[in-house]
Amino acid sequence: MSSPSTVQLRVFRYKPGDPAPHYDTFAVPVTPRTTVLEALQAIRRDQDPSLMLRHSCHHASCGTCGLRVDGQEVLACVTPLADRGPVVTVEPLQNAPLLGDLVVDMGPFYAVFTQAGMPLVRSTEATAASRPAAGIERLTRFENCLECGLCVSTCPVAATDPLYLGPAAMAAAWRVVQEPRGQNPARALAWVDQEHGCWRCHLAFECSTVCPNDVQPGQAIAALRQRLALGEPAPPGPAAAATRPALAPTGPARRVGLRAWLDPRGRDVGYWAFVLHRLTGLALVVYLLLHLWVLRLLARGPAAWDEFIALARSPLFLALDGLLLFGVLFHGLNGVRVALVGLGAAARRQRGLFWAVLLLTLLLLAAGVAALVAAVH
Amino acid sequence: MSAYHVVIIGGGATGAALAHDLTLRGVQVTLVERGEVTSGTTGRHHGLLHSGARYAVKDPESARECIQENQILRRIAPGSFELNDGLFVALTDEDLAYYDDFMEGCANTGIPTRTLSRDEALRLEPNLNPDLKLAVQVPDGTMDAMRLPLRFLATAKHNGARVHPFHQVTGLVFQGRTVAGVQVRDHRRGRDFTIAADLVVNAAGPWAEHVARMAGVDVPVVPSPGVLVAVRGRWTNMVINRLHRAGDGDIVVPQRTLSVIGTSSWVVDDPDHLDVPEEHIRLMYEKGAEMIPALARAPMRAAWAAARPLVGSRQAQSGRELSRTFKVFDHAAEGVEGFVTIVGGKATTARIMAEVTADLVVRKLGLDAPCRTREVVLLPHTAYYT
Repeated sequence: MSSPSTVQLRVFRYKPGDPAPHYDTFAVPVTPRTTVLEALQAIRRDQDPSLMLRHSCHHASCGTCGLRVDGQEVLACVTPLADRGPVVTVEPLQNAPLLGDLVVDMGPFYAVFTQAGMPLVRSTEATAASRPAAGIERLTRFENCLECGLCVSTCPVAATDPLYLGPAAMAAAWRVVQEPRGQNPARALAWVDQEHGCWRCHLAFECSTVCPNDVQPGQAIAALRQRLALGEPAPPGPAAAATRPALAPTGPARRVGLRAWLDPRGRDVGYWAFVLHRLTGLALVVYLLLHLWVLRLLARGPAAWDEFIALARSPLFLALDGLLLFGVLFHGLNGVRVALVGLGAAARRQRGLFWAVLLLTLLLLAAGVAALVAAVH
Repeated sequence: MSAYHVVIIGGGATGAALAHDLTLRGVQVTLVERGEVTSGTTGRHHGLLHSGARYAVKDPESARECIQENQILRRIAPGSFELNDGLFVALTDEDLAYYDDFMEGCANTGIPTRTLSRDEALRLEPNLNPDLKLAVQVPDGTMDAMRLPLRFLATAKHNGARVHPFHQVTGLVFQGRTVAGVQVRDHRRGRDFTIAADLVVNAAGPWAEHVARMAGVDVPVVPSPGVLVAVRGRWTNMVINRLHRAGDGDIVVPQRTLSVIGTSSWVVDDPDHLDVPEEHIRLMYEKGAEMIPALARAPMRAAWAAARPLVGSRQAQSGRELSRTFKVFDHAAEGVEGFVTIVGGKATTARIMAEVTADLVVRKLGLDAPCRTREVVLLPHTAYYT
């Protein structure tokens, strides 16, 4: 092992009663194997015993040490600190009440998660009695979801809708549908089939990207939609309202809000597609208004129109036309992607489809711009 | 509910089970933990629900505790364990020579066994080393190291216990030679205060000696870390042990989508300084691969260390020579009243540790309240948060 180097850890600090959170910077020695969790433990041990953090199993099995490192949701216990640059920022999860420093209250998370009706551990099948020769697929397992909350922290919809059921709970609901094990799949389907349920998801897929155990909540939500849209009609279940059991507020909620909808930093391609879709959508609305304004010129007679046509042939205007074409193409093609992915048909290919959409957009854009330039000259 | 109030120091498996036990006996309980609950040794253990077979030959007392608790826990915490059983595999003639002692030890301590031929074992677990001679099936199981103690805490909380994570004990409150409470620092609100108690229980695991010193008494606890390595992939469904005298890297526990190889054993002075020596990681890979060859190429997910709170002399060399059983100390014997320490044991035996400790506690308080934790089914872990 090489000799330790030093990293500056910029740590989010907040205690109840503080007017606002702030950051403290600690210098910590780091070897190639040092994890973010080990560094935080060392800070608490050697520099500041008041630093609050959560941890338990130290091997990505319990889901307790979820936090954000340089803006990305991770489990601190399996996140190496080396090779991240000289300053690393550590913050608590978002979209959850903040108890203090890096600790959030998991109460609201569990309040929704347990409503999904998923048995917390798979039904049992004793090996001693069954002795199956090919038993390896059939034996008892713990569920793969670690209940760490990373997916909820990163979700742009959870950032704006406090009643949103969220990726973890809906992934749990999908498991009830897939593998009921004595539970009622119709109830799970009725529960997600609502305003704050699976239809609210905007398919940014960051939940699946940050999931430390490959649960793929985004794909689960798409699968729920597919089942609801195309599957056997579910028998009318009890009216499923989005409710959060009344829990006493434990701290500031730190919901990210609309900022999450336009900020793709540190995110994967699904999130970039989500943000680009929103930006191009907004731009097209602005264009529509502009277009109506231009059409108004027609009413002023041929002279005004000719004047406009001259303007429209200027290089600046042509560049804006190119930008418009990009917006139309991307928004339209990505709309097709969203439809395919959102109804579950291609949820597992959402990344590939994004690149296909981008490539097709650029090819058509090039062709369009070439035609435009040719028409002008 | 009686008027008596007991403060428990330590939010690990022992403190959690004790909070549950005392609450059921009608005692008011406040549990304080300096960090998050289960953040010390408890959360970091192997995730093995012991059958006791590992200790059947050399440590029969611990083996008996394990098998009894194994059966009780399956009853009171359904859903917390995989009923996947364990295999002890013999790979060498030396291992085979241990077979008779092993079977005798299991029979004497009440651990059910079933001997499997090489072919039978490979049919159950195709990834085992094909050179194995035979295997013995025992009722080991996979458990979730954090969520079982959370169930004790959840049930205790719903029965009225107060659980305070991020509250560090900074000293004890004395009335003469009697401990009458604890001084705590609340790391969330940054304030210091005292909690009065009729009795204080030190359940701080490897930190028990540190806490005992606040009372001016001594507890023979040896913090004995072990390295564990989690690799990606679930290479077996059963818990795999080597059929030999307990040693390094001879247990592989499948846990969700991982396989956890452990452990090594040495002794340290300060359980807050736990290194993960590179050579121990290599040793885990090497020893694990002797039983399951595919482990040699499995990518590593994490390597970590946890400090066992073993009861024994500080002259211990590696910790392997010390029993895995537990011990309750009534410090009245050293002239300090109102202060009890519980150390040693295993996650599997946390409930019986709590029962024996609570028996002493209620006796000292003059209460007549029998233990009920053998029957009461625990709430799910999620109830701890909601």
